[in-house]
Amino acid sequence: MSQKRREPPRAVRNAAVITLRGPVTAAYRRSQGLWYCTALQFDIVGVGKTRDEAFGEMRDLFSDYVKEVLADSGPVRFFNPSEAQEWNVKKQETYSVTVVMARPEEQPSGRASLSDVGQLRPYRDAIQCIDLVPAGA
Amino acid sequence: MGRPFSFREFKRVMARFGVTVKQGSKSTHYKLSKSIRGERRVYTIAVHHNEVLDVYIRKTRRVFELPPENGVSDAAFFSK
Repeated sequence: MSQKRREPPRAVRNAAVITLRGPVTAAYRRSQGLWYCTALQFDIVGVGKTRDEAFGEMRDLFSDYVKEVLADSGPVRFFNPSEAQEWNVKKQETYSVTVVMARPEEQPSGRASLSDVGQLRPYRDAIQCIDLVPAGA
Repeated sequence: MGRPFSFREFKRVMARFGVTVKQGSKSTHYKLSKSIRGERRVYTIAVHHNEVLDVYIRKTRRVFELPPENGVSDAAFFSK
């Protein structure tokens, strides 16, 4: 777990940070000089010259992905698991999803979870940042 | 498969299959979406040096049900 946690922008340092229940598993592989980091529950992949670069790209793509899912009010498929062989990769890390809410008074009651991410929809305009942090951190 | 695929070609292919491509939070990131059987599918990719890597082609085809197993041959997918 060598990745550094991304610092939230100064303007949101006093905002509420929600940690969603449920893991995101990042699997790493290297091929032809490039690192690939895949979020296995969503099959979202980041590519880079280094492992950290690949993780950073996956993290940004995952953030865009969740925001896009929340932007729609109709049914959206959220989980999109990777193919079986990708789950067998040995280099894996487990992350939790954090959501920074710009207005602390606007957030779901109770503990939000990845499996019910739709409960964040009413608050999507208040979301400043979606990030992945090492599980248990 | 395996050949460099320009982002311009990729967008044209996605449009042919009804997949919408929008800019993401970074200039190199893109959000793809399409409704399939009443449910919206979303996927996000990165574009490196104006080329779409094979890994993104493969995963995009899977998300939007465009691989050979769904009846879309490589020839049909990549045809101009």
